[in-house]
Amino acid sequence: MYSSPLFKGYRAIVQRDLTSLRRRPFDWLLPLAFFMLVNMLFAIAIGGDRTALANVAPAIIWSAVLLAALLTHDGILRPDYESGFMEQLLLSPHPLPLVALAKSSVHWLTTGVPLMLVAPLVAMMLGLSPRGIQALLLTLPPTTIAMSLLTVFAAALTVGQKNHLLATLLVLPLTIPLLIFAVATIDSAVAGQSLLAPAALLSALAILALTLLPLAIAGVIRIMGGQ
Amino acid sequence: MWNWLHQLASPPCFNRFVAMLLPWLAAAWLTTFMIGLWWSLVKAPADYQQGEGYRIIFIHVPAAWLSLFIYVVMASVAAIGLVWKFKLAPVFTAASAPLGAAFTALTLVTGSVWGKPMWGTWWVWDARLTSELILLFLYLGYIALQNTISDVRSRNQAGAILLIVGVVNIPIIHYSVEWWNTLHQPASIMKFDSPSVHPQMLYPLLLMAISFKLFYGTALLLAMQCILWQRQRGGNEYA
Repeated sequence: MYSSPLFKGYRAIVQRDLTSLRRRPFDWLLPLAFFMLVNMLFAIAIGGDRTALANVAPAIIWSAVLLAALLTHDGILRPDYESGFMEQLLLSPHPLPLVALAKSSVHWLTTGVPLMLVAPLVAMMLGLSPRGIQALLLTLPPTTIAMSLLTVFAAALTVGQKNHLLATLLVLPLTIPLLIFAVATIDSAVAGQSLLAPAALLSALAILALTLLPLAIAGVIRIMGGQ
Repeated sequence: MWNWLHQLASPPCFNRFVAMLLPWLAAAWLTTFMIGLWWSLVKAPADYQQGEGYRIIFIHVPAAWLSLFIYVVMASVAAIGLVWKFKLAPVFTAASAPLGAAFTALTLVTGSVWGKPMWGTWWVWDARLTSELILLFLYLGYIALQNTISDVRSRNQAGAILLIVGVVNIPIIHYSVEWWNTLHQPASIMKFDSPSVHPQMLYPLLLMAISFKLFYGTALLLAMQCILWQRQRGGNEYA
C-alpha cells in the first residue's frame, strides 16, 4: 500500500511531522501532563471516598482524554499555514483528503497512543475495577481515532485565528456521542453486562469519522489555505 | 428559475422581492399568531392533570420544533450554496443562526419554567433537554466562527462545512443522548395513527407551530435585508 504513488505524499507528511515532533518533545508531552493533571484535580476534589471516585472514574478519564486530545489542535496546521507549506500542499498533486488523513494520523500517533498508554495507569490510580480497565483499553483506540480527526477538523477551521477557545466550542458538542458510548461501555463492563452494543456503536462512529471527516477537513483546508 | 435565484442576490432585486412578500408573510404571521394565542390561552380546555400550567406547551413545543427546523434548513441551504455558489445562501445562514439560537434558548427557558411545577426541578439531564442544549452550542459555535474569520469568502464556506458536519451529527447526538433513560414523556404528537392529544389542544398547537414558522420567515427576510444593506454600504459585517 505504501509503495503506491497515492500514499507517497501521505507517508512523506507523516514522516516529516513525526520528525519535527521528535525534535520538540514538549508538543506531545504536554497533553499527557495535562491529562494527568485533570485526573488529579478531580481525584483531589472528590476527596478520600474511594468508592465514589471509582464510580465516577470513567467519566473523569473520558472528559480528560477528550480535552487533552483537543488541547494540541493549535500545533497541527498553524505552523504549516504560517510557513507557507500549506499553500505548497494545495498546489501539489497529492489529494487533500489524504493530506488530512496524514495530519490526523500524526495527531493520533503523538496524542492518542500516549494517552492510551497512560490512561490505564490513571484508571488504576482512580480505583477502576480490572474489568473496567479492560473495557477502557478496548474503547480507547476508536475514541482517540475519532477524536484526532475532529481535532484536525477544528484546527483547520481555526487555522488563521487568534482565539484558541473557538476550537473547543466548535468540536466539544460533536464529541458527546463518543463520550456517551465510551462511558457506557465501561459502565456495562463494571456492572458485569455485555459491552458489545456500546463498543460496536463506538467503532461505528470511529469508522464514520475516518471515512467522512477527511473530506470535510480537505474542504476546509482548501478554503482556509487559499485566503 | 435558476437565473432568478442568482439575480436575487443583488440588493435591488432582493429588495423588490422582500417588498412583495413581506406584507403577506407578516399579515399571515400576525393572523395565525393572534388566533393561535386566543385559541391556546382561552378556548383550549385545561389539562386534567396539569391544570392551566400546561398552556406553556403552546410556546415551548413550536419553539422546539422551530429550533431543529432552522438548523436543518440552514445546513441544506449551506450545502446548496456550497455546490451552486449562490451568493444569497451565506446571507441566509448568517441571518438564520441568531434566530435559531434564540428559539433554542426560548425552548430551554420555557422548558425549565414548565419543568419546575410539573417535575419539581428546573433541569434534568434527560435526552431531549440535553440534545437541545447541545443544539444551542452548535448554533453558538457557528455564530462564533462567523465572527472570528475576517475574510468573507472563507468565512462563508467554512461556516457551510461546519453546518454540514453538524447536521450529520444531530441524529447521532440525539440517539446517543437517548441512550439514557429519562423523565421526559415520549413523543406524543408525532404518532400518525391516533394522536394522544385532544383535538382542542392539538389544533391550536399546530396553528402556533405554523405561526412560529411564519415569524421565522418574516424575521429572516428582514435580517437578510439588513445584512445586504450593510454589505452594500461597505460595512461587510456578516456577509
